[in-house]
Amino acid sequence: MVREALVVAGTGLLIVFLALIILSLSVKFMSFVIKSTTKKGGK
Amino acid sequence: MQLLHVLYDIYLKTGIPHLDYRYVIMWLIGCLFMYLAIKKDFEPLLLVPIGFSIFLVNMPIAPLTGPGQLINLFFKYGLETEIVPCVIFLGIGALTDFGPMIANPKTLLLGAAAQLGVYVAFFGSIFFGFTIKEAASIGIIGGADGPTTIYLASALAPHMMGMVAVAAYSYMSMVPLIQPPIMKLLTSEAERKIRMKQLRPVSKIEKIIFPLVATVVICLLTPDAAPLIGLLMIGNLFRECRVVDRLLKTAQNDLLNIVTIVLGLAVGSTMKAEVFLSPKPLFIFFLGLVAFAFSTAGGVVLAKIMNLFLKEKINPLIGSAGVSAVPMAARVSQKVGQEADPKNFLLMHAMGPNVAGVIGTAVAAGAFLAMLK
Repeated sequence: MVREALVVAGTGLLIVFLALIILSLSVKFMSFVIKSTTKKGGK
Repeated sequence: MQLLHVLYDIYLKTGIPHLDYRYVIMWLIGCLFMYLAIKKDFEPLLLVPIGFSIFLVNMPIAPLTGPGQLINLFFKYGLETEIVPCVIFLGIGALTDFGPMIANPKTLLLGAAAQLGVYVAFFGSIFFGFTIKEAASIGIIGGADGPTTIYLASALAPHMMGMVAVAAYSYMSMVPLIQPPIMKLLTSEAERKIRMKQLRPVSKIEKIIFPLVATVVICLLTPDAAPLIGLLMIGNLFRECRVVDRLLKTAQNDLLNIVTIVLGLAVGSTMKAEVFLSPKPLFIFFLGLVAFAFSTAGGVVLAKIMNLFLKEKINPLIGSAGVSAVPMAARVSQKVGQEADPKNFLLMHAMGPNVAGVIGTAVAAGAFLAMLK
């Protein structure tokens, strides 16, 4: 059970970091696209 | 003589002969919750209904929590179906400004690091003899997000929902007491004085597109988090698109208030004497505290690590706001920062990791569901 818990914890933490890193990059990309396609950053 | 018999029958039908010391202990616990809420202002919107519900359901033989009875219906249709936590996320989304996070997306990493406690407590729970599903429900307390805790517990360990929900809300209300010592322990005076550059203004279109981007990314990676993230983001879209004022006001006020009442009563109803008065809740409260402490530390330590690589340093105090108690954790960052430098304003910077923490905890719950359901 300890082994299974270790796998679950490790995988879970990895998924959380992966998801939020990808979200962070997506937000950065979104802001970049909006800024470059609209006047004054789409205000 | 017959009159005495009648009176005795009536007496037997009252709660008095069924009363024992366990009920009285639970009344005192209910009163403690109400005291903390009313006198100390600790999460009153939740602790008042939870406290009174604990009080109420521990009235012997009262027809409240049996099948088809009033509080049982709140529990069955509100929590077991997972409707209430998701609708609360709709309200949270309608109240949340993701602007600080969009302006500084790297704060999302702090929201991820502040989930560390979830996994530390999860692992610790295994050693205390809990099953793996129960351990996940306990660990998620470290995310400091009540609705997510209930959402996960209702799916993995429904019998523990009341205990973990109460632990989560108790610790959320105690953020200003638990976090500052850990934050001070892990940071130097110089680090606490770091001033951060003012955040750039975020355009309306960025705020409108963000809920769509976040929904796509999170729902593709952790589909099990979709009910929470989906409602969080639709609530936020109501707020940012500025064309559905009526829906926005309903989501922010009436709807949120209604489900908060249902949530409080239903959660409190799970704390019946026969379930609660055992060593298990004590372990859960202890592990919840461990989870909370490690989550706070995780955010602060990652902020310090990020500072090794960043040109523009971030104040590590904002890392602790990665636990998702919004906006209390951000206010704590501000307060501790101002103790070191009264002219330092960290609140808006701390709101970035704070709202990222809400997403992070929902993802952590989604990951547990994907692996354990």
